[in-house]
Parts: sequence; C-alpha cells; structure tokens
Amino acid sequence: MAFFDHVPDWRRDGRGLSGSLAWTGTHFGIRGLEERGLEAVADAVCAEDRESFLRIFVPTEEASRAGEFRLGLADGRVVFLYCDASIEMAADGRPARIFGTLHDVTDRRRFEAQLSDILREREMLLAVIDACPISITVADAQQPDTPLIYANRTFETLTGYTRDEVLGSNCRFLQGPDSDPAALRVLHDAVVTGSQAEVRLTNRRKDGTPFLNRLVLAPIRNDRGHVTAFIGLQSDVTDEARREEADKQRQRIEALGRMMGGIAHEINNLLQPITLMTEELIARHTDDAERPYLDAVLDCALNARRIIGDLLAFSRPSGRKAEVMDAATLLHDALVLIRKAVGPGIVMDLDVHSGDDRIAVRADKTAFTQVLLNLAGNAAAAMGGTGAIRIALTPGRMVAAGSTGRCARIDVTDSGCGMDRATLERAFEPFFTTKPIGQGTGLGLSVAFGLVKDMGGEITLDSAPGRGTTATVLLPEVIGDWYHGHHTRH
Amino acid sequence: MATILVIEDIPSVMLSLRVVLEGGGHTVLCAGNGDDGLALLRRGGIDLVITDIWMPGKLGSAVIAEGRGLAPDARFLAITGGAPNGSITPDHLVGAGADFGADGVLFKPFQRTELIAAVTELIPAVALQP
Ligand SMILES: Cc1cc2nc3c(=O)[nH]c(=O)nc-3n(C[C@H](O)[C@H](O)[C@H](O)COP(=O)(O)O)c2cc1C
Ligand SMILES: Nc1ncnc2c1ncn2[C@@H]1O[C@H](COP(=O)(O)OP(=O)(O)O)[C@@H](O)[C@H]1O
Ligand SMILES: [Mg+2]
Repeated sequence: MAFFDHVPDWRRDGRGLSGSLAWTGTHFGIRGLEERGLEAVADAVCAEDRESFLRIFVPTEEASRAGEFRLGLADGRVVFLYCDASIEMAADGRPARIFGTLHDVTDRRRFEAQLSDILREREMLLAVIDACPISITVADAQQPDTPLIYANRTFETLTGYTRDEVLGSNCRFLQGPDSDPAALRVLHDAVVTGSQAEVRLTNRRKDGTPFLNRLVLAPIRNDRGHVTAFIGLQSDVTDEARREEADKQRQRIEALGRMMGGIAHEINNLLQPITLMTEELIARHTDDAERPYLDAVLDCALNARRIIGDLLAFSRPSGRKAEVMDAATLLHDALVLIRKAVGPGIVMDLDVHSGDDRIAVRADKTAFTQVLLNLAGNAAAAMGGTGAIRIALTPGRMVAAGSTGRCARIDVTDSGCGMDRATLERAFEPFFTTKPIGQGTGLGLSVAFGLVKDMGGEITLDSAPGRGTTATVLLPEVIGDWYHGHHTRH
Repeated sequence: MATILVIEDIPSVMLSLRVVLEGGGHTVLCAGNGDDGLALLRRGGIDLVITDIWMPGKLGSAVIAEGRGLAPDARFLAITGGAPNGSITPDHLVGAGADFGADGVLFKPFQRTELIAAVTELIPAVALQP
C-alpha cells in the first residue's frame, strides 16, 4: 500500500500530471517516482487502462473518487492497483490537491479472473453438450415423477418439442400406444431401482410421426451413493433398424436358397433315371397300348423338373447372358412384352427420370423381363386386375463391389391391397403365397430375388395394407467401354 | 460306335445313362468315383468321358483336368444337378470355369434326346463309323 499527495501544476501541464508528488510506502516497482512524479506512474500504467487512470486527475466537481488500473512493469509483471482518492478543489474548478491510497489488488483480481475462466469453461461444456449430435436429457430424481431439467438442442430437433415445452415434465410424453410394453417396463424398473438401462422403443415426435428411439438411461449418484438424477441419451435408429431387418431377411432367403439348392440336387438326381428310362421305354414301346402310362410318368417328371428349375433360378447358376446396357432401354424393351402379359384392365405408366444422364447396368434381358413380369403380375393381382401400375426409373445409390456407387432404381408401384407385416416378412420366401391354390405358386418374388441378385442388384418391398405396394429394384451402374462411348454429360 | 466312360456315383443314374447309351450302340464303361474312372481312362481306348460333377472323393472338374492329361484325344461331357449343400453358386462356377473344363455340360435331369444330341456332337466322326 502507498499514500500519495499530489499538487498539480496546471500551468506546466494541462493533464495535471506535473507538480509536486509526495509518496509514502511501496513504489509497486514503478521506476523514477522521485524524479518524475506522477509522469512516472502514468508511464507505467498499461495502455488499456491509461484513460481510467487519468480520470482520477481530471478536473471535477466531486470530492472523492476511486478507480482501478493496471501497471505493466519493466520486468513483465502486471500489478492491479486500486486507488481511493480525495480531491480539494481550487476556485477555478480544477483540483488543487489530490491525495489518497493505492492498494495492490493483484491477488484478488487474479482469483476473479480464474473464476471467470471456470465460468467460461462451464459455459463451453454446456455449449458442447448442447451441440452434441446425440440427444441428451437430464431428469431430476429428487422431484416427484422425475421431471426433465435439461434437454439439449439435438433433443429438440429429434422430437420437435422445444425445451420450454418439456422441461418440468416426465419424458413419457414421447410414448404412444405403439411403444413396446416390455421396454416401458424396463424403463420403469430402471427409474425405480436407480439402475442403468438400454431399450429400443417407438416414440412419437410432436407432429405425431413415429421413430424408433434407442434410449440409454444412466443414474447419477451423489457422494453418499443416492441417485439424484438420470441422464437419458436418445437416438433415432429407425433407418438402422430397417436396414438390419432387410439384412436379416436377405440372410434368411440366402440360407433358404442354399437349402433349396441342396434339395434340388437330390431331386434332380432322382428325376434323372425316371426321365431317361421312361423315355427309353417310350422309344421301345411306340405303338404299345400302355404307352400313355409312360407318357404320364414322363409328364410328371418334366413338371417336377420345371418346378425345380424355377426354384433354382433363385439359388443356382443359370448360365444367363448378361450384357451391359442402358437401364432405360432395358426397361422399355421389357415393357413391350409385359404390357401384353398383364391383361386389358391394367394401365402401365412409365416414368424415366434419368434423362440424358444414362445409367449403364449389367443385366440379362430375359431375366430382367422375368423380374418385371413377376412384379407387375403381383401388382395386377393386388389391384384385382384393374388399375394403374407406375414404373419409374431414377438414379439411385447403392453399395456394390466394382460399382460407382450409383445405380438404376426401378420402382414398381401399385395401389392394390398392400401387405401386412407378416406377409411382407415372408413375401420373398419360395412357396409363400396368400393366393388360392392354382393362382399362386409363391415363387414369383423368390425367383425375382434370385435373378436380381445374379445381376448384382437388390430388390426390396415397401408396403402397408390399404396403401399399396412399391417393389424397388436397384441395379448397380457399371462403367465399361460401352459406357464411355455413349455417355454424355451436360 | 464309340467307347464311352461314365463316371457317376448314383447307381440308378448310372443305370439310366447306360441303358440309353448302349441302346444307341455304344460301348459303356462304368466307374462309381473319380479315381476308378481315371484308372479306366489310363488304359486307353475311350472316346468320350461323361462325368458327374459333385461326387464323394474327387470332384468331376478335377477328373476332367487330370483326364485331359491322361487321354488328350478324349472328349469330356459334364453332367450336374448342383451340390448337396447348394454350395455350387455362380461364384463357384466362375472360379472353376463355368463349364468345369468340359467340352459340354448337361444339367440334370436332362432328356434322352438332349443326351443323344450331346454325345453325337462330341464323339469324333471316326468313332461313329460302324
Ligand atoms: C432422463 C430420462 C430420459 C427419458 N427419455 C425417454 C425417452 O426419450 N423416451 C421414452 O419413451 N421414455 C423416456 N424416459 C422414460 C420415461 O420418462 C419414464 O421414466 C418411463 O416411461 C418409465 O416410467 P413410467 O412407467 O412411470 O411411465 C426417460 C426417462 C428419464 C429419466
Ligand atoms: N404387389 C403386391 N401387393 C400385395 N401383395 C403382394 C404383392 N406382391 C406380392 N405380394 C404378396 O406376396 C406373396 C408372394 O408373392 P409371389 O412370391 O410373387 O408369389 P405368388 O404371387 O405366386 O403368391 C403373394 O401371395 C402376396 O401375398
Ligand atoms: Mg407372384
């Protein structure tokens, strides 16, 4: 601390710094105090604080004033000084004498600076949590019914609710009649027992649209081990679940395909002697009265061969000839045949959206026509034989070996009866049919599946009862010589 | 007519092939597996080998590969109904060469006329001289 007593000489210096200065106590590291008086202090004051320093000395009405300024010392130290001054006025309104005390408040200021660092850090953490791409919520376990006390921005975008709408409420407002009761029980138990839980359940956004929520609940405990709060992490796994479901279905079908291949091997070997020896007998008994019996046996064997052949289209090499061609051409050519096959009550609309940007695919024309025929046949049947089938070709994206990532997407859409979940799950299975005996073989979709797979593509169904069905075929784009020769980009 | 070696592990299939081929006037030698077949082939005098592909022991594709070394003049016809575990897939075929290395392939169950046509096409004209 220091006492100072300054009598400015206003004639020599309009700022009031010159004059006589009496200083008692520490110099705070200021050099030249004795020789240069307040000028030396002014020189030591940090540039940013010079103004607040000078304000202490300027002419004023007030009898006392206080202020703070920093000194930047020659050795690099910064000293925070607090100045408490009294002023005696001269008749002309200018200070005749300024005297008071100076305190070193560096330690206090440094502590406060640290405090604001901590606050800044806290703010930063909050901002980070707020900006996290995963939805984060916190609920107070010490208030009745565990209300939400925090929700980050991702929660708002995920659910469509704003924080103001949800803070203070229990998070179960996201649940609906389609929320899995087993999952709700798990959540309930976790909250009651204060334990961690992870569930997937259907939730609804503010606008009513459902999404599959993967919810992780974790308790927060205080020092004494009491659960004071819960963290809830929400993520929308709707697409992920759909992909998993499609993967599972594909694996099931492939396993089934391998089994079919095995059975086909057995049956083919059984049919071989039946066919050959029956034909040998027919050749030897051309004019025999009992020849029709042999014809009947042969007929059965050939029918069995046809069925096995259909089955194998889905699981076995076909020796087909795949060529690289423009997807739009492929589709046009196939439709010529299909229009004849679907019957007079069915209108086929074709939308080609690939424009000049052609997509080259590798496909066997006959096989592709078969696929489209099976899909169109199903669509026609679903609409009871009258209605419109919309076939659209658009560029799409798929992951396939040796492909550009682009693909030709062919959607076959009908407005027929649609399928419920159970039917949709089994639709690709060989022999699965909901049609009366004689009308359905249950092979249409399984054959289509096998053929599309042969072409390196994918086939999926999107359907709901009453809404109709869209069957989607994706064929990977290939880049070949043909393509380079014909491809034009605008 | 020709001398034809049939390699096939299923007796009833073997019988039916023999019935048709002998009915066509050919001499038929039979082997129930690949090694027995190759032993017969080594003795010489065979114009055409008809071999099953999936058999216990040596696969038909291996029999064809070895057989070509033993009997450079013989022709090879592969017959197949797929594999018992459905494991013969398009990838498999591409790996093995889609024709198993044979001069012709028939998929079981084939008909009598298909067999006769394939045999007629593959047997060297000289062997067909009565
Ligand atoms: C922090 C926290 C977040 C939660 N987030 C969700 C959520 O996103 N979706 C949901 O259906 N339930 C969520 N819950 C669960 C419900 O709020 C409620 O605890 C659960 O339905 C079981 O309680 P109840 O049986 O009393 O309804 C969350 C719970 C907590 C504590
Ligand atoms: N476009 C569609 N609309 C409604 N249901 C369909 C459609 N396509 C297929 N299905 C359902 O899938 C089942 C299996 O189809 P598929 O394999 O083609 O065999 P099939 O048509 O011989 O029954 C059908 O019986 C039907 O229940
Ligand atoms: Mg069908």
